[in-house]
Amino acid sequence: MNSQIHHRSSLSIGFKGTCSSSIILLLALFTIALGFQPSLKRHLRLQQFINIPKYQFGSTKYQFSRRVLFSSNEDYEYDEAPGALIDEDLDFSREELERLTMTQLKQQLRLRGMKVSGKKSELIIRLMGNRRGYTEDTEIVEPEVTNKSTTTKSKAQKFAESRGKELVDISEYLDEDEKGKETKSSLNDEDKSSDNVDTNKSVSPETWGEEAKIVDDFEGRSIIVDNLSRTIVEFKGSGSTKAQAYVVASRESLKTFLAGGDRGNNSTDVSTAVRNIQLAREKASKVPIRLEDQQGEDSDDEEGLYSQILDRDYGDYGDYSVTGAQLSAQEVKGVLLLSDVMGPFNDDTKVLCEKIAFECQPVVVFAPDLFRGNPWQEVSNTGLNAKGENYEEWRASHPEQRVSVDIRAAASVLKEQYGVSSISLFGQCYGGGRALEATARSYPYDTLDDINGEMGPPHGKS
Amino acid sequence: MVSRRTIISINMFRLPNAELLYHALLIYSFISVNPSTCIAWYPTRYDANLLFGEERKRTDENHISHTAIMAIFAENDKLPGSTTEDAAKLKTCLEADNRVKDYMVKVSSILFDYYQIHNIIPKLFV
Repeated sequence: MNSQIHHRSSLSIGFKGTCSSSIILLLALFTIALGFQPSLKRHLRLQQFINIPKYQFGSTKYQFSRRVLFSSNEDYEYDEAPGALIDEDLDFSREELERLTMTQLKQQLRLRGMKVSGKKSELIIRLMGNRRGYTEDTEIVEPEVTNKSTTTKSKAQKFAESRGKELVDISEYLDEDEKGKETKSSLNDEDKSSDNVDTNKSVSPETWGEEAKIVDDFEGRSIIVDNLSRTIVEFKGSGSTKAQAYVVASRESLKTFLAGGDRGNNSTDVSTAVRNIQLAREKASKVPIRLEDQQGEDSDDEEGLYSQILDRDYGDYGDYSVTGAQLSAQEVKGVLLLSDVMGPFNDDTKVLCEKIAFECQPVVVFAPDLFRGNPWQEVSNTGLNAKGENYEEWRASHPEQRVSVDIRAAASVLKEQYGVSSISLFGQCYGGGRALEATARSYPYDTLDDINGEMGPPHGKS
Repeated sequence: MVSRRTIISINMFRLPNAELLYHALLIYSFISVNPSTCIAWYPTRYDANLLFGEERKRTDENHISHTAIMAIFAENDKLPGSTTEDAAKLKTCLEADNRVKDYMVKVSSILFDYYQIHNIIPKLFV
């Protein structure tokens, strides 16, 4: 009995399986048949039946490929494959087109493989021009039914006609070498401005540190586990060229940089910092009253002096004074380290940067390369470097004005990108002299301008 | 605080003496590294008389930066700006400059190497 039931159930399952597979097969065959159906009318009927917009049946790519592949000798209906929107598909009047939104107009243009840029009026003209046989894509093979006079017209003439204007031929006024060259028109400029997103953002002179980015890090290459991040940062330096810097900081100090910079909006208001510290302390001191404390309450305590003492703010006693150490622990300071002639990527300078960053946390140590990858490297006590330059010649290759701008740009990066509250200058030998000059606000040639005559970076905000 | 954009707009409107105003604002208002501390270790190639001193002192109290400066010199250094004479000159200039909140000029007979610097550096920032 059990086996019979089992047999029946297996049969029914088998039947169901056969039925479902046959339905799928039929559907697939029907779909294939539809796909190979060359008639556009059939395609349109099906579209009406299932009420799907016609553009969902074919892609523009498919339309183009079919148009190019099939010659004009073939049947016109076959040339326009299912899903292709031919010119006559535009069954909108001008008024209807004007009622459409920009998105809808662009959609219609995309379906016809036309440009989607421009103002609304231009889009409408483009669509209307498309209906009259005007095409912008010259690769498309037009059917033979089109008028010969329109095919012989140039693209510019068609465009002028579509706008109701007359095109004036000025070729006879041009020089021989200028003939045939492409010229820019105002419309092209508009198209470009609307098509392409402006990636070259104008950099405000206030934000010299905007372009600072990490170009190398030493992640995993340091043998010491000291929670420091060592990076090489590229920033905009003098003459709008890229300068590099060796940056060492604890990970805690880099929060602002990793968050995209501070743009110089770091709040260094001492009273705010004091208040924050005070509030944090008060919050931490508000411990709930324990049960045993409540039981032992003094009933004679009419003023509630003892029972409410735990809820009392420290502010009751006046302003709470915060020590300098507590304040400095709240903010990240910047150390602008100006190296000696050996450059910031010298091992000794690197170790010095790391030492400061580790011992004086939270600080960001920023050592800009003032020599642009060309530090002084004497070749075996000859007094010359590898290029055969002596020290003075080498120094002359690093103008003071460029160095001054680089130092200011580095200070801007520290302020804007790392959000440091203050900057300490640390200079060694060559860098020591530059540190004194920067502190005294002394500028080469008494100008703040860059070497290319443009406005130099600010020195930071006071 | 005067923003740089304001200065540019002044230039754009071509006010009388805008050029002078621009430079005046640029130099005396916010354009400065404005460090809270400056440590110069064996500094070279600078002119102390041009940088600090009575002549360079700003009369406008609002623009005094109040920087603490520390300079360390080696006893036997011969490079321009790093000799003991330069150290004495710098000390005199710093003394006369009211922009400087605090200063220390030290001439050490010991030539510090990097390892000694490492031991001293942390104490400077505390």
